[in-house]
Amino acid sequence: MGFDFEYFWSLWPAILEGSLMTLGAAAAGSVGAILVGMALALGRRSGTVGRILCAGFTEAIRLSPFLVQLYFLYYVLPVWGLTMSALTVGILTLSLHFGAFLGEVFGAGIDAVPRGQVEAARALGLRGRQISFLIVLPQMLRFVAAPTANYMISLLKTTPYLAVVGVPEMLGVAFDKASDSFRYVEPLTAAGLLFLVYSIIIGRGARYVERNIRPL
Amino acid sequence: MSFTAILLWLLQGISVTMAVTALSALVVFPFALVFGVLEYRLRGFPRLLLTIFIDFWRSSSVIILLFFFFYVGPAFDIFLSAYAVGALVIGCNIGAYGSQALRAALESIGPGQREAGSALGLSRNRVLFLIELPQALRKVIPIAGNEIIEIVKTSANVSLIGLADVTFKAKEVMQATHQPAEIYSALLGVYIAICLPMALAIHALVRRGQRQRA
Repeated sequence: MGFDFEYFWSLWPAILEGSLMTLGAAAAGSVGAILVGMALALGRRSGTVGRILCAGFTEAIRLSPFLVQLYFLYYVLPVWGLTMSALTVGILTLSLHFGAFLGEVFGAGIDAVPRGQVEAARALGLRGRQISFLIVLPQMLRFVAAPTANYMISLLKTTPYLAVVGVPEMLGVAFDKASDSFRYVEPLTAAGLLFLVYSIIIGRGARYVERNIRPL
Repeated sequence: MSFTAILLWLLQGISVTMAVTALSALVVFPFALVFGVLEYRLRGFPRLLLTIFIDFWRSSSVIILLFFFFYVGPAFDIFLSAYAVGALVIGCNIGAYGSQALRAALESIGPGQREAGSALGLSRNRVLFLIELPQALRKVIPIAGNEIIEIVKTSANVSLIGLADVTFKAKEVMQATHQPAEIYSALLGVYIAICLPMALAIHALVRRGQRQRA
């Protein structure tokens, strides 16, 4: 069968367009994951019930495959009366999955801020919320920047799973093209190559964050 | 269909899940060991080539590579079974992560160990295999454990290239009886039931190690 370069080049506009959806979904998923992670990190500090619920959720997510979680939300949410588009379900799954991992990171980040900082702030007369936002949060962000950036790379690498439930992102577009032409080689090569490029770029970004944003 | 019947249906796929996990592990650990040690030991251009090779496996998405090797191989007269493609892709991907853990562990051993070894007249390679590697392997035991969990979870992907593992069985039973809530809860349960004991075992192992060192 070999490799048809003409067909390969003709695929690029569609693949590039699909890749915008991949990047968009990954960006939305990242924002969602940070919010879920923050909620879990705080939930684990708010009494026994909150701690058990958050820990149980985190372990359930960490010990099961992303693919299964995606199927679960995609097929089960409509049964519970929540009908959403495949893209929304995909972004939701990305948010919950990576939120569980980030929750651990954020929790550790809060613990890493020295106790003396809070005490000093209190001695200076700062209030509870001021201490959280002006003293703990900025320092904690420096601790969590590098691991968070690494989870963003994983998140990008997980986004093609959304094709499985029919989201027309990069891999989904490649499969559409493949089933039109019965040629799998060229679409999958194009998607694979472009994906590698994106993940190398994001990887560089993460390395930059790792080098430059460090705990004081 | 009752929940028990669904669960039993899913469990028909457990042998495939286990087989893919075992085959992948056969790729993961040798890959991590060989390339982790080589990346630590090599210098200059060979090391650069190796880093590019490892980064290729780390930077791509498992699902894209799985489809790529499954569909593209035959076009070039390379016919691999779904088992082989699954084990190869999952193995190289997770093995690449593992190799980095081993390399970092080797680098974290103080230079004093190496110097003491060469002062005793051991060659560079004997220092590596008799002094540095045993210490590094001890450090990566918990990581290796987590990698087994990672392999079990990633093995769910082979359902997409037609292997009848537990995830595939879930889709099958979905077509037979449309009961998504029961089916996918059971499926999540199966994976958690496999992975939770492993996670607990690793946790116990790590704590025992900490106690011994303390």
